[in-house]
Amino acid sequence: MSVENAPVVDVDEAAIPVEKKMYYRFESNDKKEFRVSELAIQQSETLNRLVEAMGYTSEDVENKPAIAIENIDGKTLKLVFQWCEHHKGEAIPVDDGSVPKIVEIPEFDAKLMDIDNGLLFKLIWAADYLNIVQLLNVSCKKVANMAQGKTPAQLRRVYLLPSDEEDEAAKRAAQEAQDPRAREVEEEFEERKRQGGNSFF
Amino acid sequence: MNSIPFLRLPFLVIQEVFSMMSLFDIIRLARASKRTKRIVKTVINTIKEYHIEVYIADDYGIGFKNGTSGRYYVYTSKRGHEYSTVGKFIDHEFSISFFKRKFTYHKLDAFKKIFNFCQDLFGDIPSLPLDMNNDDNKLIIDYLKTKQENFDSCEVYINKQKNDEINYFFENIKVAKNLGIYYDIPENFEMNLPENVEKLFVYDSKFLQLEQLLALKSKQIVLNSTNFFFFQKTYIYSNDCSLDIPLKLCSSFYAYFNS
Repeated sequence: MSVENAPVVDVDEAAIPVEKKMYYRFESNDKKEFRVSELAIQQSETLNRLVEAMGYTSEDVENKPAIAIENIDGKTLKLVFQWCEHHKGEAIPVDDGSVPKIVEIPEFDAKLMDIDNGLLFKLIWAADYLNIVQLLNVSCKKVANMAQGKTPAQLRRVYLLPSDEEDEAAKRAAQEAQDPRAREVEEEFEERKRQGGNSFF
Repeated sequence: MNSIPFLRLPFLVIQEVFSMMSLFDIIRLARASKRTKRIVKTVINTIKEYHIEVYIADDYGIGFKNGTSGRYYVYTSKRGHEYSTVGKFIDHEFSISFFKRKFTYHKLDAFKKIFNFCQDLFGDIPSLPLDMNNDDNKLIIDYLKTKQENFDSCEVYINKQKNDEINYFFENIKVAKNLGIYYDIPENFEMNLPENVEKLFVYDSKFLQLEQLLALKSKQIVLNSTNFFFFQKTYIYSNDCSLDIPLKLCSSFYAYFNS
């Protein structure tokens, strides 16, 4: 899909330059375009540095292609920019090192993250990649909350943790893929052990 | 159940998630598989703020402190009271402790398991508050001796009926930095106080003999309700040699006299 034909998503109408506010255009890896206000971009350290380095004027924003964000899809990026627009102008939190870290999830964020966990997973990756501290905080808090009061067996299901046996099997499969002789050698070793041999060699 | 592939998150994100979890959720996560245990061990070593302690009182367990609040996970052989909160003033500061209790007929065995697991996960446990008002003091001390002979700090709450057990404790467990001994200790009691602990606090020090006091090599000593009427702060600070004075090593000494 060409850039001209790509759907343009206005994340926040207020961000459109009614009063000559500066905004930027971004494009996801599935060619969805977003207009995001300069103030909202400041929530992302990565994007903020990027636009600073590019030094675009308002004309450049209109005339040049949208800034491509190659590894985030449109659905995820829409959530990211919605979050940034809602929290624009807010101070970036500084980690004071307290443990456990106290993070409250505001109502807007809770609603924004009321999504399936596949999308939440992508949102966390995006927040990490774009270095959006507070979005990462609230999304991590949501993941941390999933563990609350769960037994180890429940945690294996919630966090899709492989059991020891599955990990062993995966390790063996990886070894075999690397060296097809590995399984034969292992079987030979087991056979010799059964026959009472002390040493493989 | 809605699930998320936790181990496929970036390592720094996993670290973030851990920093927001309660310690007990982290411990349960470590118990989910060998791999998660390895990850928890790796991450937990990067978070130094966890202050883990053994908890021995009527119930046994472990806890962690963060500033003035503490969270404890304990095994109990009494039914009911699954959760409780205890608040108290310590040094003019309000501290609050949250308890989660789990019923078991074998609380000592359960304690040993959780202690083993935590020691494996976090390394040596620095702190030991020990309320001797329980039936298993000697068994607990014997067990701790096999697992970890030294603790950085310890608060011992003495039970008058079990005086011999406090000496058994000091004979077997070493406290290196801070030792607090609390509540009413009989005046005629001969306590084998450790001499090399850095800071010593005794709530009721009427039992303490002058000879014993002078043998202490602590850097800081605080005695409440002492019988040493002849002591004056200035006297100690002036390092009067007539006292022959190992207490010269002591940078601060406070004695609060019986009125």
